[in-house]
Amino acid sequence: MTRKCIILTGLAAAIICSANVFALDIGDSMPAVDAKLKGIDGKEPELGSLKGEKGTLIVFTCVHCPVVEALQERMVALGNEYAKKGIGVVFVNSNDPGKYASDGIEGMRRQAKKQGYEFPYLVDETSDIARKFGAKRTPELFLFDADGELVYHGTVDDSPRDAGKVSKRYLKNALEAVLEGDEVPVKTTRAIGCSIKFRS
Amino acid sequence: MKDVLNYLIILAGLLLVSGCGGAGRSEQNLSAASEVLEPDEIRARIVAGDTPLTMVHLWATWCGPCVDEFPELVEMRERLSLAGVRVLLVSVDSVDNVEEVDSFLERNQSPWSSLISAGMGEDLMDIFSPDWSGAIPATFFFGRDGHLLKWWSGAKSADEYEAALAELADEVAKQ
Repeated sequence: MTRKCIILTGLAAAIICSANVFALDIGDSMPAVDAKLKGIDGKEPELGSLKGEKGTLIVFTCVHCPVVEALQERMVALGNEYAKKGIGVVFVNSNDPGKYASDGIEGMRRQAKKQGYEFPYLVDETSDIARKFGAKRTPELFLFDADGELVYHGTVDDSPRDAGKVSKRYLKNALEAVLEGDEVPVKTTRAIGCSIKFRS
Repeated sequence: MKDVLNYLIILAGLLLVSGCGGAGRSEQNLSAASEVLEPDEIRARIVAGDTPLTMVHLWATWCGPCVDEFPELVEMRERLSLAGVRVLLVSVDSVDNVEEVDSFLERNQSPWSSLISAGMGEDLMDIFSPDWSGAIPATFFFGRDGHLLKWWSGAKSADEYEAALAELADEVAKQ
């Protein structure tokens, strides 16, 4: 194999490997999504039109995941609160309902009604939104500031299982910082979640 | 009459043996009940073993892909044992569900019990790779001194586990 061939092969391998582990970094702009998305309310908004004046919160979620279930009340309470304060809040389900029937649109509608969603809940019909954001699990949260820059990426707080044991409210603190125009104190967090069931 | 009696004796013997074998197989599968540990204790368990290769598998009974993959792991038990690999299962089931975890392991003829993590956040995830998204199942291979050699997120087949062990054989030989 010639030296040029080796270099090109290595470069191709690096590109393939990096594509497999793509993730947004803090400071990155919110990805543009050209396609219209199907909301559970029958509307088909463009993601960009759902940006908030003060910032935008994108939550990758679903119906079947027990981690989502455990965090649901907290996520929805924050979503409803900050949607009224100028944050564009959007919940997105990128899961293939062929894997879990409850992740279909009817399951999403029941979930939204039961939990009292006061923000859009969209079906990612190709899972491409999750791919563009580098989302890999549910729930996984991306908070962008008023300029559309990623300022927080991660989970809701430090106690997914038990709301009574929360000591660090990562998402709430990040939302407050964005409203005030301050720097988000903890910019990235990680937690166990259910893998997104990508549509092929 | 004598033939019927002989038949009944043989049948009773077969039933007795299969019954004992069944109970013995169940008891032999799990060496101990699963136990709840804090993440720092889990980390200590990973580095404490004096084996060149430790495989840590993150899973949960509520995780569909984990449940689907589990028979592949059990299928690997002999190969893992022959390769001298220490296996640590770490469940992120609720800490109140130890019995459910053990029941699942029993039904699936697991030779291993499981640790159950008391934490699901960064205190647990910091033990593993910074590139890990937190999605389970996830499998991590550690060397003798607890350094991470290889990992993946997602379910794998027994053949893929086999290939990983072959790849790690050279690393293990260096230790």
